[in-house]
Amino acid sequence: MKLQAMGLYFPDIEHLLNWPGILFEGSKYFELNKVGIIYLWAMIAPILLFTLAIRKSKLVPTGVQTIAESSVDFVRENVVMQTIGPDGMKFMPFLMSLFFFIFFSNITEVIPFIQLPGNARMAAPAMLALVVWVVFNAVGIKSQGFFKYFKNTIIPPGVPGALLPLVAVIEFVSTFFVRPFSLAVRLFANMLAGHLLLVTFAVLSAALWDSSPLISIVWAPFVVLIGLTGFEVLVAFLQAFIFTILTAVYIGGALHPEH
Amino acid sequence: MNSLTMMLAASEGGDPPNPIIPEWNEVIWGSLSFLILFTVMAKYAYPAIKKTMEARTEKIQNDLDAADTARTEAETLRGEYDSKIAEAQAEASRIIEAARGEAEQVRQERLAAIEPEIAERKAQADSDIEAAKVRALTDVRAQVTSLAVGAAEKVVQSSLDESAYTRLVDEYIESVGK
Amino acid sequence: MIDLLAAADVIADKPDQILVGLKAVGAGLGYGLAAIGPGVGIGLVVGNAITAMARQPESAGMVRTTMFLGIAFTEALALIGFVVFILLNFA
Repeated sequence: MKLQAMGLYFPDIEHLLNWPGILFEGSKYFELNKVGIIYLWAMIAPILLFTLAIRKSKLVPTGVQTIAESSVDFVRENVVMQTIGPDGMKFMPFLMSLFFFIFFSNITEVIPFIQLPGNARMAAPAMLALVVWVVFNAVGIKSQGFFKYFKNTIIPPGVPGALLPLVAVIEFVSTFFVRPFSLAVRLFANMLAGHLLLVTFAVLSAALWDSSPLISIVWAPFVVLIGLTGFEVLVAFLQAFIFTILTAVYIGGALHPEH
Repeated sequence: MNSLTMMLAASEGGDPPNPIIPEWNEVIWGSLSFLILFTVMAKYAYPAIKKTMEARTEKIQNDLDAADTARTEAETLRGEYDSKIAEAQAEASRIIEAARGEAEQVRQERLAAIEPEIAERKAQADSDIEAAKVRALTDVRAQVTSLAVGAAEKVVQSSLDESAYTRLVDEYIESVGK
Repeated sequence: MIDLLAAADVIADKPDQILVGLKAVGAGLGYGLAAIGPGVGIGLVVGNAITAMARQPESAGMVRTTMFLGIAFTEALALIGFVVFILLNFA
C-alpha cells in the first residue's frame, strides 16, 4: 500500500500506529509505549488541573479554578441533569472521569510533537465501553432487580404481541451488544479518521514544501491542515461529550425504565 | 520520504500492531490510568470542588438574603423617618398657628385696654373745648357789653337811667347773642 | 484487445494481487456506500433540530443535547463503514 509517486510517501496505517516500547520493553502486558504515555497524561492532566484548582481555591474563582468549575458545571447541567435528573448526581465523579480521560487523550491529537490521539488505538475505547457496560447493567440490576431489569430492557412497553419476539431479540442485541460496541467504535473511529486526515494533509504539505516551497499552491494543503486541526479540537471535545452523555443516557435508562 | 514525514511517522521495525484489535499493554496502561483518575476524582477532587462551589452558592444566597433584609429594614426606617418628618411639619405649623393666634389676642387685648383711655381723653378734650367755648362766649359778652356801654355812652352822652340802660343793652345782646 | 489479454495473463499468474485489488475496491465502495445514509440522516437530524430551535429558542439547550445524541447514533453507521474499510485494507 505504499504510494510513492512524485516524492509523495504516504505511511502505512500500521506504520503510523507502531510505536516502540520505552519502558518494560518486550513485556507483553506492561510495555509502555507512546499510547501508554498518552493514557498516563490523560490521567495526570485532570488530576493536576483539579489539584491546582483546589489548592488555590477561592470563593471568587480565577484561572484554573474557573476552568475546573465550569467543566463540573458543564457535566452537571448538560449531561446529568438533561439525561438522568437530580438523582444522577452520584454518578458525577464517574462521568467526569470519563469526560476528562477521553478529552485529554483525544486532545493530544493536535498537541505538537505528540500528535496522536490516545483513542486512535482501540485499547482505551474498548476498555471504557466495557466499564460503561458493566456500570449501567450493575445500576439497572441494583435499582430494579435482575429479572425486572432484564424484562424492562428487552420488552419495551406498548408493543403488540405478534411483534414481541422480534422486538425482544432486537432490543436484547442492541442493549447488550450494540451499545458497548458502538460506544467503542464511535470514539475509536472518529479519532483514527481524524488522525489519518491530519497525517494525509501533513504529508502533502511536507512533500510540496520539499519539492518547491515557493509555489503559492504549496500553502493550499497547509491551510486545510490548519483548518482541520481546529476541527479536530472540536471533534476531540465533542467525542468526549458524546461518550459521556451516552453513558449518562444508558445509566438513566437503567435507573428509570419507563423512559 | 522526507524529514517532516519522518517526524510524523512512527518508527520502523517490530511487528506492526493490528489497527483495530487492542494491544494488551495499551489496555493495561489505559485501565490503570482510568482507575487512578476515577479514584482520585471520586475520593478527592470532586468532593473538594463540589464543596467550594456549594460554599459559594450558600454565600451568594446568604448575601442576597442579607441584602434583602437590609433593604426591608431601610424601607421601614425610611417610613419611620417620613412619618416623623410629617409629624414635625404638623407640629411646626401648629406652633406657628398658635403663635399667630396669640399675637392676635394680644393685639385685641391691647386695643381693648387702650380704648377707654382714648374715649376718656376724647371726652376730656370735648369738655375742654366746651369749657373754652363757654369761657370765650362769656369773655366776648363782657367785652361786647363794655364796648357797647362805652359806645352808647359816647353816642348818648348823657347818663340814662343805669338800670334801664343795662336792660336795654341786655336785650340787645340777647338779640345779638342768639 | 491484445493488451488486455496480456494483462489478464499477468494477473492470472498472481492471484494474491487480484485479492488485494478486490479488497481495495470493496473497501472503497463499502465506505462510500456506508457514508450515504448517515450523510442524509445527519442532515435530517440537524435540519430538524435547527427548525425546532428557531421555533422555540427557549428549549435550544435541550434540543442541542438531543441533536448531538441523534448525530452520534446516526454517525455510528458511517464509522462502522470506516472500520470495515480499515479491516479490509489492513487487517
